[in-house]
Amino acid sequence: MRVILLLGVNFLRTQWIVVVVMLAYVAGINGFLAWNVQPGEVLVFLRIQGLYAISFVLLTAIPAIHTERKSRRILVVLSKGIERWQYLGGILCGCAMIATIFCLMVGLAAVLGGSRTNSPVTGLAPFLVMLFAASVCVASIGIFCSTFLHPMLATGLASVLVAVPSLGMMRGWNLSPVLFPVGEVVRRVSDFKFREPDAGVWTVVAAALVQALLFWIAGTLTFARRDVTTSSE
Amino acid sequence: MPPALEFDNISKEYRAVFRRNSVKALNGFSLRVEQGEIFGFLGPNGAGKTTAIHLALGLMFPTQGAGEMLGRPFGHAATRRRVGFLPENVALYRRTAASAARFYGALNGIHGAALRQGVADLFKELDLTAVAGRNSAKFSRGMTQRLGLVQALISNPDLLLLDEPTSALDPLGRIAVRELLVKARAAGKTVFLSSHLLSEIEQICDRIAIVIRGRVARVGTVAELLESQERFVITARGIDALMFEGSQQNGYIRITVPALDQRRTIEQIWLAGGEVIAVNPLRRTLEDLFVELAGQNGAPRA
Repeated sequence: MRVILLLGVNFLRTQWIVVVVMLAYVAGINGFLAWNVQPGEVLVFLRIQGLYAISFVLLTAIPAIHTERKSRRILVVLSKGIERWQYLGGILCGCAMIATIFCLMVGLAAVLGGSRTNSPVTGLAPFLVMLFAASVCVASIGIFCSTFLHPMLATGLASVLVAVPSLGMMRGWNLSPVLFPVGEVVRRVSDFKFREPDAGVWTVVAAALVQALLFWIAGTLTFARRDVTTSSE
Repeated sequence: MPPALEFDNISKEYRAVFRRNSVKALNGFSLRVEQGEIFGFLGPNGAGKTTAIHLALGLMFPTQGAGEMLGRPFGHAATRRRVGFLPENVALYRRTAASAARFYGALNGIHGAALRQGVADLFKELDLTAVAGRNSAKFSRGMTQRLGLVQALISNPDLLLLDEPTSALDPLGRIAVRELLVKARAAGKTVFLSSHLLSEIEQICDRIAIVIRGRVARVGTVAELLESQERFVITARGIDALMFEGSQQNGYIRITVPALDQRRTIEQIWLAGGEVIAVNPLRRTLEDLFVELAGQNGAPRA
């Protein structure tokens, strides 16, 4: 676990520019809203940032392995006494940290927006937990795809795996939230209102985390037999 | 005691997904490196040296064959904790030098005071103490290579796999690294050294392998490889150099003869009233041998 945390923090450090830009963006939007915010605008902000978080984490996760291979930094890391699954776990852990930072920032912005408009932010915490779980799940899907595909192809495959059920569920397809938790989260995020969450939220969170684990296992099985010193394309 | 490294009939083929052609980097490659020796690994560019090292570390997998490192199959993670690796053109994370060294040490399971002390000692030994707080991304190639050596040595490994460890170092740096490697051997460690610096290899290696086109073309001790048993150098005095087609130096005449003519030539020196001082096998330089083998196998010169 210590190694995974070390690699996770290291991944976060390598992405610091991306994280700073992302935080500046959320802070900027929040500052803009501070001028003359309406209750409805806080909701719109939350919905957009929710979808943005999921896409952002996916696009951060996919090129991670490829970048490490191209830069040859992976050689020294994997020459140490660590397993490949720990390496992938580190990247996933780093993505989870980025998702946490983003969710907390969005949550803080929503609380500030709510306080300015004197509107309660009921259900914000479950919303953020749900968003975090979906982000981790898409990161895991992205990492899995990038273990055997070039980042461009991996982005395509991961987008299909994530976007098709999500768009379908937003359009009213009756898909199982347990089998397609990210689609369910996207549907809930795009329809979010400040109110007490229904009981299904925690099932979706659990399903997303289980799916993240399954994709991570699939990724480790694929990556365990891959040559890391030749490019995958 | 198991060998430090053993490659058993290993082949490695690089196949492109959308292309028909493939490249065989190693082809029936077999080699055994004993524990406690400094082993030089030579070969022209593209001969398969780096591939062999990467296979041993489990960074890639052989198409055919198998191997062992410190008694465990290639790629065994726990065994890698006992191995220090410096890749060619080492790439490290953008951190301060000390932080980077600590990070790589921590990945190998070293923590706390032992890690800090280990980093400080190695920084002192490799003359990095003054730049410990500087971002390693701004380092020169030589300094990056020194830092790469620190990360390879930080876990006090039993086996060091070094791919061109001194290529970017100045002469003083090279001497420091050579001393470090000799010290490691004295402490019972094994050093597997891939380098194009033939003089360096000749100076410190116990045994050498020359790999050409994915196969070991020659392996042996430095003396075995460089001393020819086919030609001898006879050193004599008290004779006319013109009689024997020898070269004269400080009053001594050196005559190079084929092994079959050795006895006859010595008798001729005695008959001419001369004195034989020494008879030695002809010693080539490693460069001569390298060029000869590379030429025989049609490999490009490194």
